[in-house]
Amino acid sequence: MTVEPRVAQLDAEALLTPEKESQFSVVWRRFRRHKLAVAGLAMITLFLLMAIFANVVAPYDPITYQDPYAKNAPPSPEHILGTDEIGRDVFSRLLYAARVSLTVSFVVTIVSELMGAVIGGISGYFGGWVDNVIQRVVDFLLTIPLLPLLLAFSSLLRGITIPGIPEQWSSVVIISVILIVFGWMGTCRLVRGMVLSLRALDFSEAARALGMSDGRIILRHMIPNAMAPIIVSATLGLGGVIVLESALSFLGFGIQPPIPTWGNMLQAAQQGMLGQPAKVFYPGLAIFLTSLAFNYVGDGLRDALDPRLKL
Amino acid sequence: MGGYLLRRFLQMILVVLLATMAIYTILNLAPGGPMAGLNQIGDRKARFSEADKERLKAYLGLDKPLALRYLVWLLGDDWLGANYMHVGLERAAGLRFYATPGIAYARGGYPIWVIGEKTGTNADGLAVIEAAKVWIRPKGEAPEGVIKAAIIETTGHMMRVDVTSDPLDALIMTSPDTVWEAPTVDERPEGHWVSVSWLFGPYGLLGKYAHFHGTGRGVLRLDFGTSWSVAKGQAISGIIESRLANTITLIATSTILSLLVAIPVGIFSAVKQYSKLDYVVTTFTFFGTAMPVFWLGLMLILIFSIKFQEWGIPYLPAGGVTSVRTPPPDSLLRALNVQPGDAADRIIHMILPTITLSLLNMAGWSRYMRSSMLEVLRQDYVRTARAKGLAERLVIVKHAMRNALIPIVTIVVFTIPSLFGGATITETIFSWQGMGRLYYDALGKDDWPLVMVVLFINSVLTVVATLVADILYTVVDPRIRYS
Repeated sequence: MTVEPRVAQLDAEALLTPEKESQFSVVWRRFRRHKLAVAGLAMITLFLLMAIFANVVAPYDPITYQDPYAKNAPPSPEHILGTDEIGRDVFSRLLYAARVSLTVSFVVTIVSELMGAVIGGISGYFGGWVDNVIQRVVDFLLTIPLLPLLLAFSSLLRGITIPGIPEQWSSVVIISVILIVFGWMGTCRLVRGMVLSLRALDFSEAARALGMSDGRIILRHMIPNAMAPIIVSATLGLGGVIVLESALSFLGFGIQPPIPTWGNMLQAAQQGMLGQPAKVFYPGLAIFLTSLAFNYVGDGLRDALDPRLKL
Repeated sequence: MGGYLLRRFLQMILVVLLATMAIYTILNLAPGGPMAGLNQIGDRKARFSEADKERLKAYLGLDKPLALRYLVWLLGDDWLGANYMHVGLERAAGLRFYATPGIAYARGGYPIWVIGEKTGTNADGLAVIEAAKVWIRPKGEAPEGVIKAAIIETTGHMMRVDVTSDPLDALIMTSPDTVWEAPTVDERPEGHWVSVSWLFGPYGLLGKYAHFHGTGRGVLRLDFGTSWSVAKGQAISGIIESRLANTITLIATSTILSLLVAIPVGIFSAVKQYSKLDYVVTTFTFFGTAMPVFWLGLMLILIFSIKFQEWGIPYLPAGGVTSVRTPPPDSLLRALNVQPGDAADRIIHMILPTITLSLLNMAGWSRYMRSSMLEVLRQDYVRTARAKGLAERLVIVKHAMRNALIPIVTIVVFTIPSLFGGATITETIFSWQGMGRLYYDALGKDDWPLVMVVLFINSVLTVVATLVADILYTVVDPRIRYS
């Protein structure tokens, strides 16, 4: 009688190895269950595509095209959403504004989350006086009222031009920097808390025993393990940054015209509101929808990545 | 607890000091401000001369070092050499900072008369005059032989003046023997005089760097100074007084309204989790947190004031605190026949801003309340209460709700700062003459003293609110202890 060990072997192997499923597909499978989050993701993708291909989609240039004979024109086949107070195409400006607003919020969120993660990682990992100093700075920044402070800073830096970049883009850079400087503290606290508990676990002990440098442990072990909450807080933060940037621009202390952003378009529309009430609708709707979409995606991601997470 | 409170209190002071210091520094280093754009006047004759600018700078205190200006902002300048006290010491007893009160009242811009001898010229070729007698802000007929001039600046015991009959400036040196005649100087009692401020006083060690001689008492003693541009020359405390009532009314009303709605809604939607109501509430909270407040405000104006007017429905006022004149026909104000300034007028003006603020607060707070309630409902003691057969209503009201309300304490406490700080965006949209709008105006017009005061009040209250919230936590939840 002959034995067929190969078959038996294969069976055992199949039984022992669980069905391979990448972490990404697990998350994606769970994320898909959240219908509104998927809708939000679709909307963000659409907005992003429209922003990226603004130069293709937009029928007119947002700044240079001005029709002096069609100021404040109502919607027409040439101008789907009409024109603004100096005859620029509102639809084109909305698209380019999406570019500016989305770029600013992505850059601000990514940089401030990274900053928060690294500083929080250092704070939690080293503890002692380092932790104390960093946490006092965070406390300090968190106890000052945010909006008045942001307003003060952006109004002060309104007129400044940064050498090396075109003059009209200076305010974009300045506002981004201000939003980063006052935006990293939340993540810092979050990551610090995570690292404090991770540091006590065996694997980080093992990493230290293997002689890894502190920087490597923080970057390769601590932060990746704290990634889920960072991603969720970043997604929720994106919506917040969009609203905050728009608020500053709306009040006239943010990104300055002629660079279009949803906030300063809304401000311009508000001034002509009595004659052209419909113009205040679109930029605000864009801010609202984007922020809503990011909130839903963040909510979906939280459920998908770690249902116990509370953010 | 006592030690903890003391530590927190010291921390609080440090935070406020650091914050104000940082903001003061940045405000003063940033471009713009009151000295910018002075010469953007078309008429050449109306332009400011360099001497005028120096005088303005001296008047605003901008010629002093930044650190000292901050100190003066905080503590006032009435103690910096302007007050003298009588001490029973002989003049020769090693007192280097012997002073007379006169120079303390000689400020940039004041007209003076001087009697004195020319003793020479300085390095720049300006005449140096040793003064025997000085009149500050003189009145009436000028005595014989008087030099008429205007003060450009005072440094230590020396005054740089603009002599009326001479195109060249002159330096007036004063000494303790100089006789002063100044309208604000009190009669000097008998005896010898010494400057209290041996450091900053006019004859003090640092006198020439910090020659303050004002009457400001500093924000710490609740002297907020004068406004630069929003209400030029008016006392800031007066401006704030006129705005505070408006802000408090608006914020208090919307806070109470929001709490009254948010708490029950949050509890219901937690108790009936996944029900239709919960679904509606969750959607509402998501919309509310994503909704930019300025857009909501504008949309409300668009619908209730502009569109209603178009449609011929009695419409709401789009902004302001009260009507200034008889309201226009077709408006709700006219329909109800309210008089400008009476209670009904104010209430109707409050409707839109209150709704704007409340809707967003409701969204955030009911979400907060819901998750807090869900958390509590999962606790063992709630299960125990159910297990021992208590009625569900009793479990929820007596056991769950009371504990779920604890986090709400924070919310209520943190509305205190905004009660005084106002809601900048909402107030701006609705031209609500409150503190938030004041702050916005001050920022737009570079009115730094006003900006500083609003920020100062705001940060003090925020820091205090943080502490109060922490203390209240120990009161409502005895499990929490600070040491």
